[in-house]
Amino acid sequence: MKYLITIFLLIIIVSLNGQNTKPPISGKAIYTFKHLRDTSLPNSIYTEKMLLMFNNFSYKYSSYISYVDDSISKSRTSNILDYSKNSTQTKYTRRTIEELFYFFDKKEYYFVHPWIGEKVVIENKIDKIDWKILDSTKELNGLNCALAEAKFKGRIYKAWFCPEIPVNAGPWKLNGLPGLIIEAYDLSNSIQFSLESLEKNEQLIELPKAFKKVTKKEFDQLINSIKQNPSGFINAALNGSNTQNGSTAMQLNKSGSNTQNKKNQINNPIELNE
Amino acid sequence: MRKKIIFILLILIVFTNKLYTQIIIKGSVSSKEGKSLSNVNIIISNLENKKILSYGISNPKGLFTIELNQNYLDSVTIKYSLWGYKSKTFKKSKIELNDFQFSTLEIGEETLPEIKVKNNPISKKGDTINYSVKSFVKNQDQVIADIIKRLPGIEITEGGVIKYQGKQINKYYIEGMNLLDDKYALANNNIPANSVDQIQILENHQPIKALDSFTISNQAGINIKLNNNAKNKIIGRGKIGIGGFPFMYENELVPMQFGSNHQTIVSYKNNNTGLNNEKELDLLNSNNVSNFIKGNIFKNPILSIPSPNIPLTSNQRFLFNNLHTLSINNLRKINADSELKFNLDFIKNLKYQNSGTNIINFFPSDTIRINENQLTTKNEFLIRGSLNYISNTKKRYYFNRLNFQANIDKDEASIILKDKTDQTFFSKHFSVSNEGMFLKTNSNNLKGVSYFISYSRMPQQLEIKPGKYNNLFNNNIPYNSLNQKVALKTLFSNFTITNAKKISVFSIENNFGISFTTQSYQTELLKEELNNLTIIHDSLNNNLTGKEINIYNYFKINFNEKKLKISLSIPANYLVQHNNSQKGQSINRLFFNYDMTMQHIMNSNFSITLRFNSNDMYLPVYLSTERYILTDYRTLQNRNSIISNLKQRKITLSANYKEVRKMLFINSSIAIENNVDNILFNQNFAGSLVIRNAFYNLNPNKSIAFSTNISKYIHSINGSFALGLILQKKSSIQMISNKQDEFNVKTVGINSKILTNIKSHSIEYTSQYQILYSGLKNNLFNKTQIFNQTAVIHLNFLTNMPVKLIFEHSHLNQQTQANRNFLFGDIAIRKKAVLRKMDLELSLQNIFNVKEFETVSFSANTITNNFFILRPTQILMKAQFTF
Repeated sequence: MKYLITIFLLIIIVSLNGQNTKPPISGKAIYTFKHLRDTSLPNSIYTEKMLLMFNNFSYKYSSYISYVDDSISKSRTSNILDYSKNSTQTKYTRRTIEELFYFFDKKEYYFVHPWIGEKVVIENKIDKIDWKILDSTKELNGLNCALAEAKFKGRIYKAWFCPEIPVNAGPWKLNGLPGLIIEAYDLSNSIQFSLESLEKNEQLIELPKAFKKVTKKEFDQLINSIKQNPSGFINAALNGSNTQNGSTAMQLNKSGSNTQNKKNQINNPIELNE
Repeated sequence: MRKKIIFILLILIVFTNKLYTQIIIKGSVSSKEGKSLSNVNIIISNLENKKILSYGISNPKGLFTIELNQNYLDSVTIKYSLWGYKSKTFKKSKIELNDFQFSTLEIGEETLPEIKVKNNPISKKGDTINYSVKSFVKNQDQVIADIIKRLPGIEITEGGVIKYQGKQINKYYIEGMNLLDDKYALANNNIPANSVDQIQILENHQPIKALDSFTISNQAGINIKLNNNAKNKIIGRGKIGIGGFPFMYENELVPMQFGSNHQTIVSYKNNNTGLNNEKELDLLNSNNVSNFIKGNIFKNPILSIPSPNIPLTSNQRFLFNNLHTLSINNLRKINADSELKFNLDFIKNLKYQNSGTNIINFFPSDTIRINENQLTTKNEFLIRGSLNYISNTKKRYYFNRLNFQANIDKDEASIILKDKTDQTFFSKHFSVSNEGMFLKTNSNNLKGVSYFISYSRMPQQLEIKPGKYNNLFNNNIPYNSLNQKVALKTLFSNFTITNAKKISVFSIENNFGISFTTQSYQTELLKEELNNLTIIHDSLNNNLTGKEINIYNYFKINFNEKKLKISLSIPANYLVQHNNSQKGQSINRLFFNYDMTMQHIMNSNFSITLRFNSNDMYLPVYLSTERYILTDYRTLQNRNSIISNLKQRKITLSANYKEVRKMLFINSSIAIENNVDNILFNQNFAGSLVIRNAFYNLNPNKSIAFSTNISKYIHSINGSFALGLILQKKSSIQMISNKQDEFNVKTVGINSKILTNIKSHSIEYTSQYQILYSGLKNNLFNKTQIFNQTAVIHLNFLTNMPVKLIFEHSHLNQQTQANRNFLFGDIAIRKKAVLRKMDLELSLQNIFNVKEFETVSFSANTITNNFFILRPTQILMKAQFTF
């Protein structure tokens, strides 16, 4: 058997045929993400539409609303939006600003956070999720799905995946199943992902061109320091960065933000400490 | 020792069990060319029940390892799949799994099952409701109006007015630009259906950006969004049609272009098939007409030839015509906020009608019947144009519009009422006006100035041959013709200063202004004998000049909150009206009115509005004539210098419910109106002539009306239905033969509209049922029932050959006459895409060859039945193309 393996490897090395220059087929999926952030408010569930762009080797997970806003600002808008009272363009909706990039061949994933004037990237090793396939099957939106279960980041997730779409991608950090994850939820029902729409797409999945690599520790320090002194920090950052406008672009509360915003309290984060 | 052995044996059993229950499968996968494939999914499933047992994913070298628990299986399937490659499945037995597995995959179809979120055909974002045209368009639709009229919540009236939730829309935009203003039927009836992507309703629409936070608008605007392939190039429709009998033609050419900063619509249409294209050029927004009425800008026939009331059926059944219309409209954006618009219309219309009229006049002591038959020819020519400059920014709004209009009409009729009378009506109406407004805002203040100046001239003449009423006008000697001439000149101007201020949720608006009117009105009643026109008598001529000055102040306060909107306005007027009549009537009066609206928006679905308003209107200066005028060949009227005044008081309660996701729209309203006018006409008959003499009398007119409409889109029948109910009671005072009496009309009306689709065919069914009870207070009520129903069936057995069948049934049930039933049928067969973008249509109208149609109408103490001679069975072949 070992000889066979060596022969195979030789064949692979020897026959270096020109690769197909076809770009990899890719798809675009929109998920509805629900997260019960504060267990003391069970009726207030954070909901957001998330976008998953995937192909055979990688995937990108980000906010769908940001994607839509970008395309609206790129195309010419109709004047009539100015006439009507509630112009939806000027409304700001809460969204996740970070993006996740997964590359299976390199077994690495990147956490991209937009910073002031540039993007900050944290590189990580993909944690292999130990999925156990269960017996159930069901049909979702015309797709035959099978059920798998795994413990990941402090929660037990159940995921319905569709082998007819043979990619290992899934929403957020859930991946590694032999089919696209259509629906996933954790046993306590605090986290839920469900697929809303699926279509072909032609975008390449690649990291942003300009970014600054940091470690998780450095990133946590950055977040903490901005919480302590936002205006000072932003002033310094703007003056030191490549933005065209060197002065502060935003007017912040100069008295400092020591008071925590009680509305945004999360006592049930996605990743639990084990 | 024995315990130890048992212990070791147990461990061995357990250990060997594990060895036997788990196997490790190794393998690799590569492409047909030998390149190793990574991220390939390898799934091992149970052969019998197909359940997934285990899986593996190949690494960059193409290698994979799978752990499998083999307790329950004999054979398995192993499936290799990678996106963009053809999957392969193999059947393997337990023993075969011990070997090294490998497979090669060939490149294959890139498939991805597409899943789309069920697009709601209607969606709501803020104040905008989007209707996706794709969900509502049908095979037979040719222009946008065909789609709009079936959208739930929206209705298009007979006259072409678009209503949303029962209220008229206030603006019609195409891609955010307002090319046609009030003439929007031209766009609605001509923009090709396949050029439109979305139809948006802009609720609570305020067209003037600067006024956005100051005034509350409860009307909606409509915006048409075009497909990308319809923009920036010349699109449009054309038609050539020929038919018989007699020779018929119907042609049109409507090119249009919608660019990002300019829009043009040009339309030329002609026909003699009875199609009333001039209706498309009507001005539909009745909001801004008070200045136009005061300046006498619109056609105002003071004299007329009696005309039968138009029946509630397609014009093409009874109208014999020869019509040419040309309309040129252009909008050019000078920059992002300002635009220049130019509109020019020409209409040349020749209309023939062959009709009969039966009038029954009810008097307390008598009943008089009049039977007329007439052949009427109307020859109308209209030219109308406007040049409009608008600058619309958040801080400033300015517009100036220069309008001119000329109508030249000549109507001729031959009426047989016992004897034959030939009448000719000439009218020339010319007007020019200039209006504008300038508004400036800064933070919470708004200041503005608006102006309107107009001049209009209107000579009219009614000639009746042979001369009538010899006993009254010519000492019983017959004479050639009787002529009534009138000439009215009006000079009108209006200036208003606006101030508005916003303080948190309140906003205050004050309009202070002055309007001047000068009118000169001459009328003469002449007789013609041996080619000589002479005045009959001085007492039948008027020479009135009058002036009116109105100083007004309209104060308005608005409270605008998310759930509650209140607006209260107090108009104050100081009116001086003076004319040169011998009786020296004049008005010098200060009076106040009120208008209060409260709107409670309970949630995004439901809102209630309550409105109390009063109004005090004085009719134009020229109406206070002191001598007789022959307004039509049967009516001699004297207003005895009375300056007419109408006081209105109205309460309206309306409720609107909409559930956009379920596509359900309901609106209901109750309106109670209590009006008082100050003029009453006493009618006396002298043969067939009615002599009406006005005198001063306070007359109450009351009406109470309840209406409710519901419209819903139903997924299961793939269609929608709308149901409307109207209950109304009106009462007024009439005076006949020196006796006053109260006259009442009660109406019950039920309207329905159902649109369904069965496979690819569709049926549109509409019906109107009306019961009218009318009569004088102490008399028996006359009951009339009118029932009209129309079914339009589109059969699409072949997608490129739609067939349209129209069946119309009309039932008239009157106490005074026998029941009448009418049934009409039309067929139209269209072959689509005969050539690249051309359709051919063959239509057959009035297949049952119905010869005559009848309508009934009420006014005061009369019931009028009109009969029309209809067009016979006609066949028409049309070639229509879109570009």
